[in-house]
Amino acid sequence: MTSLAEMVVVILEPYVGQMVADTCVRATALSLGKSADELQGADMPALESNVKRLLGPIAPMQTIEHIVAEIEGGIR
Amino acid sequence: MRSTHSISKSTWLVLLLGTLAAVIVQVLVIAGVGGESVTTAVSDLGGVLVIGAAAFITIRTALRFGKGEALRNQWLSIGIGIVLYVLGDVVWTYIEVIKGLEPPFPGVPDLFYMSLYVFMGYGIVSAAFAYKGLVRVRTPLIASVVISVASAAALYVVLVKDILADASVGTLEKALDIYYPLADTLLLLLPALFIVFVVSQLGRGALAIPWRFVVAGVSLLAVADTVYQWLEWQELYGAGSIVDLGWMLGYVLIATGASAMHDLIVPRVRA
Repeated sequence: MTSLAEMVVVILEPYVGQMVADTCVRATALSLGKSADELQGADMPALESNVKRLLGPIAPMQTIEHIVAEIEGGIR
Repeated sequence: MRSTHSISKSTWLVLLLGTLAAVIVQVLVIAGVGGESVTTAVSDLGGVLVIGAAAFITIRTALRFGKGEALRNQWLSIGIGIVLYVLGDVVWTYIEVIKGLEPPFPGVPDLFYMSLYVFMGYGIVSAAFAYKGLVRVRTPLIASVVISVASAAALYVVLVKDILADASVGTLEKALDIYYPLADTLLLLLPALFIVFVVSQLGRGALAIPWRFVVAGVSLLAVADTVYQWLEWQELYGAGSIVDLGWMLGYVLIATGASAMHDLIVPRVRA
């Protein structure tokens, strides 16, 4: 089964590449005092907020909303 | 993968039609169809139309973003830079085609050409700094400053130094002969290198694609400007010069980048 971290990396990768997608997820996990593999559904708000903050200045808002919707859809 | 962000057909069309239009203008001018006055009109008006279309595409992309979005300001700034270039060309065309005079150097068009650097440079640099939270920006900034300053020094030695030493060149002309190469390296090349080093950290990420086109375009503009400076100094510049093609293609590439950024806007799904 894919972890939440892996799923988010897969969603972000087409936009920001593997390395940056990985960094984005690990930074969120670190801010919550966890490792990337320990991220769970309950960490979604923090993850979404981090994705919006980091991608906000570089990606179209509609696209960010689409990414967040994809992440939410992935954990359902 | 849920979505592949390949370049859309319309973006390829911008590149293809823009290149084709620029080449047709160049061929017509070189062929000298209709005599000297027609050739001059085709050269000037062709440039205005091709680069005007590039400005339209870039501004259109900028306005697709919401008022609070950083991308709107970045692309609007680049678009305004292109509009200023077009306005310079319109004045140039008016002097050369309508009034039938040789456009002076320095002259009114230079006011527009000079100010475009500030807008384009700002747009690209602010786009590069927008990646601050995601990737390293300090090393790319230092590397681009070093390369650009070295390029400015090389241009001074190869071109500017000799122009400054030329007693037949007027003071105002000398001032512009210093300004343009400096602006090309510090306000165009530096931002271009900065953003290309920044987005190279995205690997195959789609957000890097628009900026790669912009960097290619800006680099072409910087080269064309430098060649123009030399040709103008040697009094060799005239309608149909390869420099004109360089300018047109440079702006076509920037418009292609704008169109590629437009491609990244995921359409809203209707509920």
